[in-house]
Amino acid sequence: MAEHIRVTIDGQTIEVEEGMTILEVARRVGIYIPTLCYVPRLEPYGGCRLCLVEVEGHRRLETSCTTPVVDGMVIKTNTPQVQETRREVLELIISDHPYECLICPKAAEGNRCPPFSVCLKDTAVTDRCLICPKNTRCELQQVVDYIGVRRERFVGELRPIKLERSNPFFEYEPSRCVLCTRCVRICEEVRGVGALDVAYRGFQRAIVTAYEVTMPDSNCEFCGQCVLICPTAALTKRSYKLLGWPDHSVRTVCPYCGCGCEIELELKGDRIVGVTPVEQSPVNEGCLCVKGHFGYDFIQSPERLTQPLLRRPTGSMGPIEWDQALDTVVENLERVVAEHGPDAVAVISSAKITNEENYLAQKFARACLGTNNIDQCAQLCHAPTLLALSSALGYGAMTNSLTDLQEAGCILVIGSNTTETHPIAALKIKAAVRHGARLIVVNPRRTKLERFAELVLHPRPGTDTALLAGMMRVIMEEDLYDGAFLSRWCLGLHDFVLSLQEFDVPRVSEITGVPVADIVAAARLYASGGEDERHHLPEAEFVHPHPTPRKPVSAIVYGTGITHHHGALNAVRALLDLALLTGNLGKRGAGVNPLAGQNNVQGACDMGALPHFLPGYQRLDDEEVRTRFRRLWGVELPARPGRTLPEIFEGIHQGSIKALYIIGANPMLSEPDLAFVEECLRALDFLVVQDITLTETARLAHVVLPGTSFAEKDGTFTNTERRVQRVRQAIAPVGDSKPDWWIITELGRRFTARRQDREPAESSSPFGTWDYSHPAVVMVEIASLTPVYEGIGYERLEGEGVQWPCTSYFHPGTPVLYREGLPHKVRLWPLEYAPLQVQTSDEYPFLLITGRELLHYHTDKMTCRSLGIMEIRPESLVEINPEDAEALGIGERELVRVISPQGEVEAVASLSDRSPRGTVFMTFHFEKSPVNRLIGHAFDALSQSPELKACAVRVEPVERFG
Amino acid sequence: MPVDYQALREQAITRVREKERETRIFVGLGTCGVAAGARAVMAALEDKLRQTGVSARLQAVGCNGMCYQEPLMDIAKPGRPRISYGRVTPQLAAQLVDDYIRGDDPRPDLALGVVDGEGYAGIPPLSEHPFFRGQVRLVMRNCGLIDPEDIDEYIARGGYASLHKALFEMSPQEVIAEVRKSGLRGRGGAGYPTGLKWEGCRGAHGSPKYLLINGEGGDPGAYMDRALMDSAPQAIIEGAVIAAYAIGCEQGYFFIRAEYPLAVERVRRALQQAEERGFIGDNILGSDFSFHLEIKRGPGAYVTGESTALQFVIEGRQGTPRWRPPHSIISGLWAKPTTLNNVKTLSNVPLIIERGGEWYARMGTERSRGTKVFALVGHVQRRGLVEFPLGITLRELVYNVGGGLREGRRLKAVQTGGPLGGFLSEAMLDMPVDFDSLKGAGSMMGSGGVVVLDDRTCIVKTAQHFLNFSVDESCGRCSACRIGSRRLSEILTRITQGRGRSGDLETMDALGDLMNRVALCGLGRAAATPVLSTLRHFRDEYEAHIYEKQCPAGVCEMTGSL
Repeated sequence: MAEHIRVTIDGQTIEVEEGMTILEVARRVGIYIPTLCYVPRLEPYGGCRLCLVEVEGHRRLETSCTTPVVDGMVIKTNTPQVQETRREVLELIISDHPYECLICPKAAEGNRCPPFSVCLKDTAVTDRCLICPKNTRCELQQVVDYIGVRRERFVGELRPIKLERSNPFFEYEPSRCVLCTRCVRICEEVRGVGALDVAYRGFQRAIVTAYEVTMPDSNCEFCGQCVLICPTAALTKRSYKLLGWPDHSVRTVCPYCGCGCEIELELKGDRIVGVTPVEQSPVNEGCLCVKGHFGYDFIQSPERLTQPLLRRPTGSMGPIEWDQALDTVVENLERVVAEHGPDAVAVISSAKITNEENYLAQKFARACLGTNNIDQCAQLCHAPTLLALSSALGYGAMTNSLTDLQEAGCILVIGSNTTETHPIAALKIKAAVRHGARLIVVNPRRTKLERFAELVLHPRPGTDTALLAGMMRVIMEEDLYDGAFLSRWCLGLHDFVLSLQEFDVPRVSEITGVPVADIVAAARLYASGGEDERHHLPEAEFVHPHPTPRKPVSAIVYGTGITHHHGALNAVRALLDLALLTGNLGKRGAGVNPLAGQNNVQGACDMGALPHFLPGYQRLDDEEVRTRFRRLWGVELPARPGRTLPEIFEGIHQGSIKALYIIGANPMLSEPDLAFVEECLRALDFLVVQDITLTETARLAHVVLPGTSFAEKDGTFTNTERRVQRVRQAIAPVGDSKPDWWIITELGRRFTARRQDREPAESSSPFGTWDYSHPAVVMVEIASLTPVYEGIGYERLEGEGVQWPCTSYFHPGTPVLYREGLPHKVRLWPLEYAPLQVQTSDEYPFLLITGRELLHYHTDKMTCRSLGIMEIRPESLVEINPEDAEALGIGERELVRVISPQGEVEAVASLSDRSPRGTVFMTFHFEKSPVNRLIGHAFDALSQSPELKACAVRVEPVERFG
Repeated sequence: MPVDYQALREQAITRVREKERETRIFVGLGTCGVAAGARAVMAALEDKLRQTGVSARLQAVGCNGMCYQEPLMDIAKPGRPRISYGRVTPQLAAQLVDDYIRGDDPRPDLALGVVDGEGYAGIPPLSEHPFFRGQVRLVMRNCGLIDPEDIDEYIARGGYASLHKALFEMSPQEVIAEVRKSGLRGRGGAGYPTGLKWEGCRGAHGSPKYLLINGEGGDPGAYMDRALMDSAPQAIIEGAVIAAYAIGCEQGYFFIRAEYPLAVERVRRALQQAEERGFIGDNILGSDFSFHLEIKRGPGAYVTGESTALQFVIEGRQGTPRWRPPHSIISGLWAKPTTLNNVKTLSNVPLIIERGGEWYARMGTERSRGTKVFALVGHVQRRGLVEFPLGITLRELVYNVGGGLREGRRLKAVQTGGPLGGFLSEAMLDMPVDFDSLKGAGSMMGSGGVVVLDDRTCIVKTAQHFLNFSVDESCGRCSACRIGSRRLSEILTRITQGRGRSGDLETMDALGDLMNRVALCGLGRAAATPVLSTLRHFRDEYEAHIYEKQCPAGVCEMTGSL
């Protein structure tokens, strides 16, 4: 605890903590001190010299942002001398800024010229605030207005205008820069990127990229944080210039990855002109990544579907009215149910649509169609987590929170390229490292997070389980486990220890290719919670000189590197074992934390859009639960467990599934073995696709229903840390498209009405009718049927959201699971390691790893509509080790063909040692290079998760004509 | 087990004596000597010796301070005193080999003096040369005399005796007490009491602690730091190890301006030799004390001589100063307690330990003890590095040491303290030179630069020249210095072009005062000093430029007035 001291500021004596600066004290008591270079979240800089104050007994005025208070200090912030000195400094600053408006007598009266007004002083246009994009939003203007500057004393040369517009998202205009270096500091201190720095001395000082290359050629990640923090118009978003300034904004949730960042959608009328992060959001704390900041062109893209489409007997598609479309769907689904039984129909829902919509989708499948054949793409990445964690602990979700990571003493990141796939989660990890946490990164590929890691392990692809077993063997042998936790909560220690026998460290080292010493070091570091002897500092410049003392707890963070394998369930259980052994559960800063890939993976699963679970992971075979649903829904629930996503396709292939209703999914790009998927979809009797654009999958449909994007509807998303957050409608649906909840409701209503006609029910149950007027109503139903959501309603979600379990209206939510102890004793999972099913051969000598990259998201329907993102990264890259490339005669940016036993795709080669020798890496984002065409049919036997991270391929240069 | 220092010294003396058995020719190969052509002299001598078959040892030494006499060359024949010659050309060098070494004529007509001891053959002792008369050479005691690349010469003259004494006869606290007693103040310019700094750092919470040696020495016109590193690096290193012992630190960094390649090389060799002899490294001289010293070359910016900027450079960051507090002795390099000492300060330390603080405190003035090296340059007859007890007057420096101005010239001003110092008028010549008097007069001690300006100098143009150094070297971190120095320079440009305006002087006064009050670091605060001090003492010259469009010295072209 910091010591308390007494200081007097402007006559007011208060008690504050030692270590605060004068400025912090002033802000706490509501005293305004003008600043330009100060930002609370950054290290003080002391560059602008505006925050001067008088300190009794000090010879000089002190900069309040850098001067710590000491006991008995007497501070005056607003004496005439202080104000006069600030004014002189400000006169200097604006003497190097297009300043005419700043000293205009009109401005003295608090007026700024309206648009198109003529300057009475006949000032050059380039010197006028009026044409500045930051006019009225400029911090320099605010400071000038506060201090008051009406004279030109230090007139002199201005820096020349030199517009830098090499990137599509923002511009840099150095003549408007006040060199506060906020951009430089936030890029380094918060983003951990360091794309910007100051170069040159004195008056020539300027903000530049390394070696002054253009932004796209630099290591810039285009998060736009620098633009957000710029006090003047030196850095401005181009969208404002092109589309105008917003007149209002709507707070909602980013539709990209599972981080669930809160954003303000900025609108000018009904046009989205920009996005800013929500500062107060505990999730993103005012940060966004390039997608979340700039990737919104898809919402109002001309490629949006604006009306329902029907396939005519001729095979072509044409628009129809909604009534007709909905009736066609209901009739056909009914027909298939009647002819082949309810299990001949399946619904594929989506991890991109809201909780309410997922709830309605599974209700539609179960209550209307009478089948449990409901699944969604979370099956491809989240199923092993779901099964492993929920069966062992009760909840298949992140045990802790994103913010919680900042409390960890040690963080183990395994199978996650966090900086690219979950950029904001990566910021939490970086912040933890900056303040003293220690990071272990395990990944076959080199990732950007390594820069912050103390230990970097590069196991061979698919050997994670063996590596973890080796670490646990060290923990057992060196008595590093938490004995008290083990005896209180764990069963099966004997079998577990027996299973470790075959994992002696040298053998693990042989399997994984990780040196013995690194395995031992990682085990010790993790087990000690970061208190093990330090090996080396990750990067002196990034680590804060005064780290915060930390508790000895370790967190595990993992991604699809773990789950996209045929042995996925085993790997997740191994991670859980590791946490159990060391007692890293139920504490802040600890836990087993899977990162969900899509915005609503967690929510879609929570809502029971799963073949084996009802909403809230309630069991299908639990009679009590079934009764409850029967009573509220008024129908008997189907008892037979449904088919998973891969099983649905298998079912279609075998002819047992005849009709498919796909909501917001594009299996024609996202599913492994695309040739097989296409064959299946074409074989269907009836295919309905509901989406926002005409996807590859929609092109095969009989009926296409135009849904809406997140910006056009209300609802909730649940992010990867179980936080239920409000999605708010910002614009009217594009064209004649309809919110997905409306569409499903209409289908359900029609279905129920027709059944009612056929077989009138005696009593109407509370939720038997489909008359939802708004998603809020759906949430009421969800709360009454889903225990973990019981306390959640829209009125509670106005602020920062609620983390489930939230079991009553007064329950505060649960940032950390199992703080009161585990629900029951957990059996340690004996470790099993099975080598990759896929083996490279002479014919297919490379192992293909697929994944995501920072700039793009999932299938290309969202980011590929973003002109800016497409300018930076217009095509799929095949990342290949330079040595391998040389052996194959492949050069940088050359077109190559990647061939697997399943198929082949073409893409552009990118030479990088991020991929180890013998492997190549591709993203699955692009329609032009559908990488899943290459992937085979291997699935995790236990969880049905596909092996997307290993495929044997060969790579050939493509001969170009001419 | 403590190493027997006496034995060490005996060995060194033996080895040096060995050298003295033959005729030795010393050539001043400090950076200044090299610049004046000493390498050509050296080459000519090599040729000459080879051609004539004369056996003599050619030895490179540093600079004894007589820069106006460079290249300097000494000849010492066995059993004869060492005789110094100035302004030696290759021809002259060859001539001297013929005349004095092959023949026996020491050429009194060419000699400057006898380096060690009494006069000889009509040649007076060098100490009686007007340039040396009255000098008290402590820091420069070995400059130009010993081979800076041979540690034995330093040891033979008593080098490292103080270290031995400190390690085995004194506690760190006693070392600090002795230095406090001496009244030694930081010779880098700020004049902070050295003993106090050490004590603060020793008592500061945190470990490890670091010692930084500041060899940035980038003041134009004040090059004593370079001369010390060129000529007598061992004394700096000895002082550093004693300082480290007093503070309780095991790791130091010797920061040297990269533009001083010779200094870097000499210090590197000196360090290597000191390590070989066990003066640096683990268990120094058999004690429990260990200290490691690493050379860091500066990135080529004047401001990196500022203590916090220097730390950032060592940390691998951009060398811009940061705000204080915390002060470096509390939180410096890598946020650990850190002491930064100038090379000149450290050169004083072995003597203080050897002879005691009281002895040192007897020299100088009440608040500025000891001696100071001055770089006496500009329009005086004799220019170079001289060392006097603090309190000497400027008049003595200019007229007695410097020999006054050239024929027919009058003194206009003396500029002290390097580019951040100020100008003093002739009326102030009798002021004693010490830290506080100079400050009181609107200038500063700085590194010890003394630039004498005669009546053909335009004060405005010269002030701008000094200011422009700061304009170029301003890091630009704080707005006061970045924009302020630039605006000042712009106004001065206008004035010297005849485009001065009424109000300019007031603006400059205000701007200079503002920079002094609010700039972030010492450079920014002092950058306007050349302008402010000339505005104070030579305002009429500015006014002549502005109102009469005339440059009294006839230097400025005043094109703007046409």
